Amino acid sequence: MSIRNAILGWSERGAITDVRAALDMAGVLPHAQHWRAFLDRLLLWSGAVALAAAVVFFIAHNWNDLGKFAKFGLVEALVLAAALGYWRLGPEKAAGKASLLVACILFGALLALFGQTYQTGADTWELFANWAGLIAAWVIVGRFAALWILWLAIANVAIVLYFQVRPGVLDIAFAGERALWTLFAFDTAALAAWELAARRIRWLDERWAPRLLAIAGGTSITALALYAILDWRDASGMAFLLYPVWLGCAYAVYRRFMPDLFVLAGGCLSVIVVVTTFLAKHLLQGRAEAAAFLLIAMAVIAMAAVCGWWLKQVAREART
Amino acid sequence: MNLASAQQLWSKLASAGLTVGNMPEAQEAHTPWYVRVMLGIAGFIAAVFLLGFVGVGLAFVLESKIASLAAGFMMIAAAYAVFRAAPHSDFGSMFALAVSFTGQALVVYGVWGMLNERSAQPWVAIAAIEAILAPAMPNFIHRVVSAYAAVLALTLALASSGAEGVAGGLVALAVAGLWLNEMRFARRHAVVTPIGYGLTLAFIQVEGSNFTGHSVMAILGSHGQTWAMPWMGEALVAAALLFAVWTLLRRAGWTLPESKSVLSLAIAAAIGAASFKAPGVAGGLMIVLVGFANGNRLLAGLGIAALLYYVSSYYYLLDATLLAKAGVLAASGVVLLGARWLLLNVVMPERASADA
Repeated sequence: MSIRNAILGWSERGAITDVRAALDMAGVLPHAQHWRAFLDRLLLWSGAVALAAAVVFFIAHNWNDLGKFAKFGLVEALVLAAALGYWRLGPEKAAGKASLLVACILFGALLALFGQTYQTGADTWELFANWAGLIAAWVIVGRFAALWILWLAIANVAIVLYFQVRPGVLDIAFAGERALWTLFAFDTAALAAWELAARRIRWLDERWAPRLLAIAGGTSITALALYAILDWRDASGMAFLLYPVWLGCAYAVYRRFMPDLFVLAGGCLSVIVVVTTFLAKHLLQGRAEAAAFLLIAMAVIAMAAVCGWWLKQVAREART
Repeated sequence: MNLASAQQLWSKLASAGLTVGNMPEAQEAHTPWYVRVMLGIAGFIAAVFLLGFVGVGLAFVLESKIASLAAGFMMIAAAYAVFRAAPHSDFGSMFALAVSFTGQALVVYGVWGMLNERSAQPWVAIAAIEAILAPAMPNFIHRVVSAYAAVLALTLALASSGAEGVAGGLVALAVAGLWLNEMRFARRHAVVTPIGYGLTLAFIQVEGSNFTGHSVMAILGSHGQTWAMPWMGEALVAAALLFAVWTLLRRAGWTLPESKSVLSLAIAAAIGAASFKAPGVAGGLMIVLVGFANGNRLLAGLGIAALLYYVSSYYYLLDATLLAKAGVLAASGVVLLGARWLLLNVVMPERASADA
């Protein structure tokens, strides 16, 4: 429980005379220097993202009144300015990091402009793959978590688009499954690498980023498990084997080695969805449909109750 | 926070004379928001199957609107009884949540059939029912969902009365008013906080619906006269941002004739003005500001997520060309970075804020 919730909980039971003063004394409410630092970051990042988005929108508009050299000149000048901004401000300052993030986004706009102008015939996935490849060096030197997440997001989009364009030599039906397997492998490998690296590298030690990767990998393997249940004749069936392995690994890592209730809650939701789908697939085809609906509803309630109870136990253990 | 640090905090507050009596024993472990989200989704899944059970096994209920209403209200009453009788039972709470969601679906079905569906009547009735359930049902997840549903129903009621444009603005004022007065309602924290989250989530969605370029009622097949234009709603959202900034300035002891107060309000007004062309900027920033002011990281995070959602949705807004949108974004970026420069150098220079 956070300090804020503890004080609000005490106040609700009439044990605090002045909530604001109590929260202020506990350091929950921000003071002038906190406000300054916070507004500095908020306005910097929102301004930087707005400017980068403006350039992306401008390129997407494909304005004919502006010649191709003027457009290239404009975007290249902006990429250069952002990169110079990073060089001048340095990697430690937030403004330097924002400059590098803008430079990385604008580099994508530059590649899009190239494809738009010269009609190279390249597939869209190649734009994203090239983008990820070409900014990789900046991402490595940038040493900041949000930039790595941007890079991983670009790589994910490239994978999805690749399988849309190249559904596979043998069978189009496998395209979705192969894309999901690739995304699962990529995001899970990225998650494992992140968790291992974060033990040594301080700037990677931010829980929101590995949690995002866990959501991405978990969503893929859950979708694969659902695919295997709903369309087991066409699906490869590998998910029946790997889904429990993934669950076991997630439990071992996030319950035993580095407790993380967020990932455990996501795993619980995945189990509820997969088991419910399995029950629905097999019970709703019979004659006693009403009974099946009721049974599945009770099963979902029971699973959720057990998960909720277990997660609260884990949370309680972490506090004592 | 573990027990030892809770006791340490209590002693610190007690020595400042801010406590009454002994430290209350922990009633129930605080449930993190993501566990609540997981349980809420599971509740919805269970409710879908319970509804299937009613639809298939008790089909006669759905054949009559009155029977649907009666069965729905009975299920909600039963859920209330379970919440009250077994407040600490995980199974009981989940069961009651699923039963109540199913009951509400039956009530909506009944209300929809009994009232003129082309008017605002069914939406007003649904909004009123959800507005009563939000404080009445003693469950966090239920309160969030009911507050959210009440706002969406009210938005649709306003939309069918030709006032769709002002819905987001009205909710923005409610969101700002509630969170800025959170401490006043601290004794009712368990009721007010989930309702606040429900209102905030609904506001993010209602404000986001501006990006579809279609009115909600047009999507529902109704083409009534609209008298409230979207700019009126954005004016109210900008007013909510100004109200939030003004309240926070007063709280910090900054008065109006002071130039730094005027400048702060001018910056907020400029961001509010940008919101007329790029909907969501003022609303998202307002949520971030009140979240940070209250020390509520979850609320501030919701505001940041809303801002990212609005920027990415802005691409699909149909009212303007990409060139015009690029211009608006560039202007917004300049305003935001200019505001940052003013903040760091004029409004809150480093030495002054360190002294404060």
